[in-house]
Amino acid sequence: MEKIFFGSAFTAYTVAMSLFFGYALTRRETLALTGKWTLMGAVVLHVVSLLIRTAIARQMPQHGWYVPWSNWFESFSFFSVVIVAEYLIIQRGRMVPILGAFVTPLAFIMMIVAINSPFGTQIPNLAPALQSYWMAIHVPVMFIAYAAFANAFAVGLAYLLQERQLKLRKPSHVVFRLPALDDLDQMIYRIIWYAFPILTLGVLLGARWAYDAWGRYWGWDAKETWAFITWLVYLIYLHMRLVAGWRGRKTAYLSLAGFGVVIFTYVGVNYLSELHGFLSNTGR
Amino acid sequence: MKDAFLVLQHFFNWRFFLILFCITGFGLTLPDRWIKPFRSVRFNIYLFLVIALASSIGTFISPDKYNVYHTWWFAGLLALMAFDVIACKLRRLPMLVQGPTSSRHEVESIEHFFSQSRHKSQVSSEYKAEETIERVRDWLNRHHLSFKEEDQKIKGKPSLSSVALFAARHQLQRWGDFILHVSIVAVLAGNLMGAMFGFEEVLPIPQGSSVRMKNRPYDVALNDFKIEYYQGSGAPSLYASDLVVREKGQLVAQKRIVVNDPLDINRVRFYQASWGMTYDFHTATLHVAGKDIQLRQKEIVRIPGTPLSVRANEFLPSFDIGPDGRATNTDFEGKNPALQVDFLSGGNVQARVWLLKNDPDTAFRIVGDKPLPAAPPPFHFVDVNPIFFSGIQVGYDPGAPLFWTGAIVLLVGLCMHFYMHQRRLRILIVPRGSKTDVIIGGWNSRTIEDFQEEFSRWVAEIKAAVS
Repeated sequence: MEKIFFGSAFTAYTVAMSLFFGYALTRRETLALTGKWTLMGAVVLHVVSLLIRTAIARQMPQHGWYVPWSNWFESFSFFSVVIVAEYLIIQRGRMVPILGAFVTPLAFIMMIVAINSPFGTQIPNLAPALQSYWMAIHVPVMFIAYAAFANAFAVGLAYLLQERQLKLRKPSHVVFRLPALDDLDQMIYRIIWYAFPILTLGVLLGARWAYDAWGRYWGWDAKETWAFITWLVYLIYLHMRLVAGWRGRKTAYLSLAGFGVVIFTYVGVNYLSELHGFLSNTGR
Repeated sequence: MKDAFLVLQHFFNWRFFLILFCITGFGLTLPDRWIKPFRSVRFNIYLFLVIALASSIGTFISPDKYNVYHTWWFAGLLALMAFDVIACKLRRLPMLVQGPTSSRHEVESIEHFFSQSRHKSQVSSEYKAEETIERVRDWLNRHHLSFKEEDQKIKGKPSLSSVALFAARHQLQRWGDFILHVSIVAVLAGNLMGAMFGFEEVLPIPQGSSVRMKNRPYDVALNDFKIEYYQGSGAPSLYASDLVVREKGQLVAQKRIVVNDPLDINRVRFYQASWGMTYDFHTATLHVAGKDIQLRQKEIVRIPGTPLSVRANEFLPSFDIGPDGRATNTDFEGKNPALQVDFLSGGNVQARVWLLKNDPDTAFRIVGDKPLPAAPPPFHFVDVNPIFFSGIQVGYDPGAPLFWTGAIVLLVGLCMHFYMHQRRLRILIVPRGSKTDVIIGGWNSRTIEDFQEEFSRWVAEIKAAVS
């Protein structure tokens, strides 16, 4: 059951992505509208698959309770659904369906990474450190922030593409669909504006968890440090915008760099960190 | 309450107080021209960048080699951040208290407001000034916009009878920026307090033993240690240590701690951090001459049907041969269990060998003090029941309450600053003959587009009210 829903969700993401690409090339409004509805359907299917997975896990004798973001596969799968859900919220009330062509590939990549998990797709046994209610609090808050930054990244890409093509004076189909540079710039700003307090909350909740699990709220573990660096990058963004009034290309690049750091914090660090790694199952 | 006392007690420690006093004092009292470079956004952006780079470098260097985060220069960068917050934000507190209608500050002046205002409009009223003011006030009241008449002088006032009104919604938002920045100082101070007066130590305690702490006169005994595994896999599901803490023989506390559930004695917290096997064991099983025999450590047991005896001396959880040719242990997880066994005849050691559990056909005979590969032994090391140790991490951080307070205040400040939407209106009413000009300026704390719709609606309503 779970596999069927997950598979359909994956198919729906792929279809939505193709529709948005089609829209970018042909400028047919119906394609964009269908894409949006397909994406909504994909989110519903995906959420159902996560709920079924949770229900299955809860029936296993070793799991008292379970949250469907406990290993590589689940966390990437969850990440993609949060990215798309947040995109649907962000684009609400704005006539900018072309951004779907920038966001859906991100969700698609995350799904591919999930399916090709090096640790398999089965329901995992939780290491003792992960058996905590903080798992249900800290992790989703981080994902909400990270997914927002993924959206800011997508809009940042759109901004840079738009700018480049305008400069070259060779506008392609995509450019006609894209909103004005200023609007894209404002959009990035608003996304980071809303997400920054959430990122801070997530990091502090992580500190609270670490206080119970590892005996200190901050220990400069690689994951903690990189979360702090992510925080600093977006702090720089906000200071650039808010106080210095920088905007446009510079800050768009920063939104790309920020998401790069997010991805490194999310995945790359697992090969540096002993405590946060997917690989560490020894409790050390 | 106790936490507050703990924080205060350390706060007035002269070293801590001196550091904080210097940073705050310099930030507040240095003359403006010295502070100016630190107040530039560019400087702060570079500071964040340097801190980010330094932090990232630290994750690629092993902390045993060089711990970036414990160096004086890294602490200096964080101190500089605190200094900047004080210089940028705390210095501006008086201005914040006086509010946006105060005439004392250039940036809050009406001229500045209108020159910076991103929302501007002018409508003309058919009424005389007094009537227009009444109508505008009425409108403000109906919208529950608290307003007051400006007390500041308007430079180049077009006419003596012109009036300026100030109105705002979500005014509390203007405190968010201050609160969130100052809370960063509390967070850093809490961290510093922990680093100065806290401690961390790791106690590896063998099952059934007791260990004396270095930083407190506590004897910590491990009554039992348990690992449970998930069925059908080698993945551990539980580590649990039964701890008893005594002071001079008196029981202080007793608890079964697991990961995520520490024992707390007056903020001295005991965590389940690691585990492993000691070099000692309860029993080991050898397969000799067709039979399994059980041995306790150092116990001499006769091998049935032979004149020989056997004795197990020592156990290594992860046996390896080091670069010096001697037997070494690589970790405590039991990856390559090895048993050192003596074969005795008439009380004399005939042979001393290392037997490997995972590799029954390999043995190392000890010659001198070095193990040398030997012929496949006719006896096997079958199993061992080792004595475990539990790695209990003990942490004490008197700065933690200050850190958590700072963290909560930071979140409150962030929510105020980012999620409240402050909107300010300044309305100038300027008589012009029998008619009156109403000049409306708007400012909001978020992006322009967040206020555009509302501002135009307000302007339309004011226009309707005065015509």
